[in-house]
Amino acid sequence: MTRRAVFEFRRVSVRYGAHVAVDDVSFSIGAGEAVAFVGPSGAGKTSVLRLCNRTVRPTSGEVLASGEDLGRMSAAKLREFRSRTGFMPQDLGLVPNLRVSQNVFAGRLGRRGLLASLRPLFFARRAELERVLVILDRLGIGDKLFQRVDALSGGERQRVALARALYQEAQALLADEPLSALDPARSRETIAMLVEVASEHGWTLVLSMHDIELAKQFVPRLIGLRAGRVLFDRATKDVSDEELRDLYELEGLEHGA
Amino acid sequence: MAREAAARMRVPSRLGRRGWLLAFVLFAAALAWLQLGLSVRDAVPGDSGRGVLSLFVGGAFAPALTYESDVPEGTAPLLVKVALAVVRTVVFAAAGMSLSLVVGLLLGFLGATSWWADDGECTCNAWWRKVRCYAMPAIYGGVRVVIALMRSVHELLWAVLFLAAFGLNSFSAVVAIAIPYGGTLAKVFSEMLDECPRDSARSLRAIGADSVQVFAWGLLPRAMPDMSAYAFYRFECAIRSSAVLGFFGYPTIGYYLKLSAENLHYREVWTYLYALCALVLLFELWSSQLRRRIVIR
Amino acid sequence: MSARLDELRRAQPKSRFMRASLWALAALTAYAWLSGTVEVGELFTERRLTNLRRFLTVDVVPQPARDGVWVWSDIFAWVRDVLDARGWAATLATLSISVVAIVLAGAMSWLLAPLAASNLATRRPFDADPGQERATWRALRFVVRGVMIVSRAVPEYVVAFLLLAVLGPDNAWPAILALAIHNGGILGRLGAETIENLEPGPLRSLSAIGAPRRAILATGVFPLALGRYLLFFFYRFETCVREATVLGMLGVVSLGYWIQDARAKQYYDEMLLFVALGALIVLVADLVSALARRHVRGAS
Repeated sequence: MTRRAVFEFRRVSVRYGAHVAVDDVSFSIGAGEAVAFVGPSGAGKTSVLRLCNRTVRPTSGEVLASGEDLGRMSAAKLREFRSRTGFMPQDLGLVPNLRVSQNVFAGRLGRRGLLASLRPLFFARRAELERVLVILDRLGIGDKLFQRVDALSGGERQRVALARALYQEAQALLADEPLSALDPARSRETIAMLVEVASEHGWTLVLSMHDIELAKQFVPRLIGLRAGRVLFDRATKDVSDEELRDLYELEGLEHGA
Repeated sequence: MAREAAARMRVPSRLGRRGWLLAFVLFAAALAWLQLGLSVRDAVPGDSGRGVLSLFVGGAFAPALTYESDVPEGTAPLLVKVALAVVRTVVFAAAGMSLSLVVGLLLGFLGATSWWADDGECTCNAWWRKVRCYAMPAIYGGVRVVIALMRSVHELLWAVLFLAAFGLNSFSAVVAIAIPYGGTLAKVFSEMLDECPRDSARSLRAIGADSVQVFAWGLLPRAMPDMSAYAFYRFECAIRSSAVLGFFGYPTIGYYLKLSAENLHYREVWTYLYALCALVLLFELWSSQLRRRIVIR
Repeated sequence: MSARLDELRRAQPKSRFMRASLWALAALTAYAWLSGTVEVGELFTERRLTNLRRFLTVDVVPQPARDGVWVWSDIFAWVRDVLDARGWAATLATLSISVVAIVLAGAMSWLLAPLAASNLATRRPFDADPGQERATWRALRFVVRGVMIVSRAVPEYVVAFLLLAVLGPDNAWPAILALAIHNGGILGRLGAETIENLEPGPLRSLSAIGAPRRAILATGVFPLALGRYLLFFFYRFETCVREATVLGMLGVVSLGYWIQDARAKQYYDEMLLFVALGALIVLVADLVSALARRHVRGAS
């Protein structure tokens, strides 16, 4: 099964002043693959994820999306690309004082003109609402359709963000620490759902996680990041316990120095 | 050890920054007092003043329900006149406020930076980069100047200017309210839009929303509770302003209040004062109820 | 599916009060524009536009340039004469009035605010167990709040107008007192809210060691509330300057007096000059207030 790489990093580095967040990273992720970046906090996981939709730009190297250099994309092209790429930042980026339905509608902004995109904020069409309801039902929160997002629990918000990506008809989903706000039971449930939904729709799923156990259990490929460098990149079943220990312990040493 | 710790702690000067500020304010007040040649004795009414005062205070306990002097046949009863004045006061305030809301939203949008400055690395297009680097800051700066100028002239002074330019016309009074109020709303709205959390805006931008969409879906809803609470507060102020516009000949409460006072009909004055107070209190009550429901923290 | 959507829509949380308020506001706005009280069209009739043309082409043209010849040195001389004769003195008077007024308003609010704050004007302030509330305290708070509400409900212009009849136009007191009463009410409410929002921890411990009310006020409440209070104080100073200009139109010698004077004489060029001067000092006060507030923020 040789499919074209959806995301390809070629010797990518990101520096913020003197701080090196991402250091000479190369990898490629094929279509429909599910990958988790693991590593301690501050390892550059968030930056790598944000490089994938160019909310962060590389200081050097290039990021390719479906073979195209993101850095050279025109604004219109980039918008189109972003509108096909779901994104769940760590804080989810939902609008707390809008309804669930409105938050989900926001998924299609990238493909709408100005006036057409303003309408659903005020007057949602019945067909649109029904489509959103189907999605929410699939995720088990259909009853929350007209609730305000700030009235929801952490797990429910996670689902709203996922629903937004589904409504977006994304081809890939970037999720930054999707489990950080959840208790252990919810975490397991949520990651299972993410992986399931992704495979159902043939999405390329790129996650960043700090919970190595859950990552090992649910995600077939792991990329270990430490201090901005790739420590390992292989199928989960081939990742040794020693490698995982190194990932976290070395970090502690470096902090001590 | 303890001495070292004490030395490391910064010992504040006895007055502190706020203390100096207070001292400066008091000093300025003393200078101003001398400049105006004030004396406490002048704040006590003289003989003629005492007469007016006793009339005035007496009126407080017996506000007029009918006219204090004879009026021509066919004049509407006093209370009807009061009610009409109240309605017109609200009408001028509502018209001025709705106009200033439109102006305030538009200029507040243009005077905010968060929707275009924070554009999350989207600017690779040379044309848009040029717009962002030169045109938007220019528009922003220009709008800020316009806002400051609109605000710097009091609504009564705008009214006086329009009176001189057009003569007495009710629409110009509405515009006189709308200009400084629109400026103030624009200033406060743009600050609220710039200070509200940007997380939603960023995430919308990351899934392809453009600047205006980011504004409408990510920033405006988040700032909306604060913005509407403030607009309500300004509505209350607009009612006061509208009442005072009557002093310049517009048919609001101030007009009749002034006439009655000039005829020394202080009981009628109190009728208007009570009506004004009731009106303002009603709106304050309403807006505080609304604010409690909108601003959820 | 459809039925379920309707069901969810029916069940969505909504506030009847908010809905009614929105409709009321919409109706109010519609009535305001459509009732005929606001004559939009009348402003653009021939007569009005002739007025406007005359105003712009003749009335506001500085007097030395009325003959159509703009000699800048003459105009500057005219501006200087007007400013020297009346402008500077009136500007100074306006600023002085607002400074004295805001300080008096501050004093008034310092007296009122502690009496209106529900966590302070009570039997045992800042006690973890407030105990049985006494009716006298509640009555006191009610009265003080009432005084503050009424004092800010009446516009300062109306208060000054009434005071002028009592005190006469010979001095600045009517304007000062009107501004002080109105702003004292506003600052009092803001001060009371500040006190009520104070972090209760340190104050509770003061009350726990049995500190008397006066000591809690002096060592706890005032120092803690001062920073936020000063922000409000300088914000109100700015509006005080704005209002002080206008109050002169009633007869007190501030800028407004000369605006009214020029208006009565139909010296509109001079009037415009004074309005511009008023705008200038408002901008300056704006700046001073912003700087002072930044200073206060920096100190906290």
